[in-house]
Amino acid sequence: MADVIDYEIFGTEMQYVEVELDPGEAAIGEAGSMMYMQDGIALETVFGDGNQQGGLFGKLLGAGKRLLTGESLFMTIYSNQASGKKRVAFAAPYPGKIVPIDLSTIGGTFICQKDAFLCAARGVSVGIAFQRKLGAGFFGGEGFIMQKLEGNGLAFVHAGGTLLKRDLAPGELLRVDTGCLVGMQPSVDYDIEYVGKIKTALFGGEGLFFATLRGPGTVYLQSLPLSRLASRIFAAAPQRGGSREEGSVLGGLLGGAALGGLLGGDDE
Amino acid sequence: MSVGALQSTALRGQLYGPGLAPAGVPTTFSASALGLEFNGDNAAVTAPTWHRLAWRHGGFNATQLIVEWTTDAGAYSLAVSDAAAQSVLLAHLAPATQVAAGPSRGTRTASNAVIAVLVVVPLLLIGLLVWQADRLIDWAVAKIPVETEITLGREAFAQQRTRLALEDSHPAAAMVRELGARLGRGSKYPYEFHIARDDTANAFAMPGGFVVIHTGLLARADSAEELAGVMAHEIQHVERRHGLRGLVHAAGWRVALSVILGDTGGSLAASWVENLGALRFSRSQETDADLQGVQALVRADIDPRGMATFFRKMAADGSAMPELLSSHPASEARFAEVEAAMPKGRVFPRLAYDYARLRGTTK
Repeated sequence: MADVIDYEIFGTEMQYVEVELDPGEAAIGEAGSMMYMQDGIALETVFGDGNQQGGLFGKLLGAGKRLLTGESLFMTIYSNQASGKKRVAFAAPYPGKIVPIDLSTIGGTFICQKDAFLCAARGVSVGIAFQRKLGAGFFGGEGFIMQKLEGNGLAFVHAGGTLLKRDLAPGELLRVDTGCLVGMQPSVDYDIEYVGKIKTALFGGEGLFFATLRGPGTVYLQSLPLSRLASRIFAAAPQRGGSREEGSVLGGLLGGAALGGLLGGDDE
Repeated sequence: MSVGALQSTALRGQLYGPGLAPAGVPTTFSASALGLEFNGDNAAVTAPTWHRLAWRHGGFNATQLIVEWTTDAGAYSLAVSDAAAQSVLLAHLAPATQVAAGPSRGTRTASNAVIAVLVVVPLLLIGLLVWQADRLIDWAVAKIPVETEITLGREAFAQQRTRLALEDSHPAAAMVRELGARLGRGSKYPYEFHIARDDTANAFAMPGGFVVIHTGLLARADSAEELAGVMAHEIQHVERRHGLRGLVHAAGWRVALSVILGDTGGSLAASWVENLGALRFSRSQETDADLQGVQALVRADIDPRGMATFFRKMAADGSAMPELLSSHPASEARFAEVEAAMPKGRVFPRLAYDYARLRGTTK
């Protein structure tokens, strides 16, 4: 059984989650995601996710898998060694929402994009799920390697923009822009589908494929994948020809930036 | 049949349906010859007999066995991930009621076709590039006007010039220019001939007609005919646009690679000009320059045997000539070709230069 932890989520767009641990309880967190912890919480860094029982080889295997998902090799266990309740907080690494997922109510397994995991109660195992459908792996927007959270406790995942929880009825089909999928129950069919019209594919701006999700099951979608945010920021950076410099009023006025702003400014 | 044994086993799954939590509820159930029976909170949910249950392998990576049915209340669905539970269910489920997982056949075919195109077309393009590289380069080189080539060559030579110790008042300078003018007569390139102070026995030509002779080469040659042989060879590199071909080859690959790899570097053009100075010619281009050079010597009424004897001397000398030979590979086959190209029975007038005096003191 995973530990039963209480939590509270703070903030609106740049969130953090505060987890309250009873004496003897523990939480696991992605190394580097901890924001603060109260005195009395002991911190132990373990190889893998702290759940491997299979000796050295099992630990190495777990660590190798973590390397594949692009996470740090180590997980940190925060356990309450004090006699009262203590709190530890984990912060999201970029603008978005943190959602709690109670694995016990969704059947024990949650599949999510590979860096969505933020923290969880001790007892939740963080593994990888290889996408075996080639099309979905190449064009689905989530790659071939996804994360699998297993157990029966609380896990917190984080993704960009606003998160949408959507429950799909048996057989219900949802088409999603590639890259917007955060996670799903394993009962959901995840595949891709060609947009179908060559004009839409080339000029519609949504890419050649949709991700298709078919129920039954719950899916989580993000409104702003980090890659999309990053490419916008990158495109607007002055080194890449982004035009708006805030330092120089004169340059902005004389350099045609006002006109440029009218003609070529952010149109979305 | 051990139906009795199966009956007692509680199996686990996630049940979805009307009146249940939208994310489904974890449930236990048992499978018997009579059908599916749910335990605990879901005991009220009923399922039809086995042969009326639709089922499929679905979910993430098709790891789940999904059983679906409809009652008066609505559509139900049971997802089973445990392998043992799946095999128990499969023993009961009728093959006839299996439904295809995933999107319809038509969409699937279209998606697969698009994926195939996305993967195959770039591979084909790369293959075509490799296979038809020579023809593509010929085509591209033919499109470049001589004026452009001269401009490019002038820029490249201006860059090189700072690194070269040019000696345009060298005693042999006038001879070099005269020989060059004879060999390049009727050419569309405005040749420039220079002598650079460098003890390596080398000479090189840049696109557009910039030919540089090292003083080391002047010292190694023993007659004006031998010098003319090397010059004729270098001039043919210009005439046959070998430098430009090399440039287009390199540039083509860079463009192709940047298209394929998605690199959008903007300083490509600048580095091409730099590359001009460091061009290497292929073996076939060397042979081409040799044979065309022999013909140019004959047209200019200069004894072409000077070229053959000089190359022989280079090869025999080995260590003295690493530069010229490393960029101009020496092989018996190459010498044989040059010697075979010599015109038989024709007598050439000796060049009227006091070569020993003009080549200078560098020995």
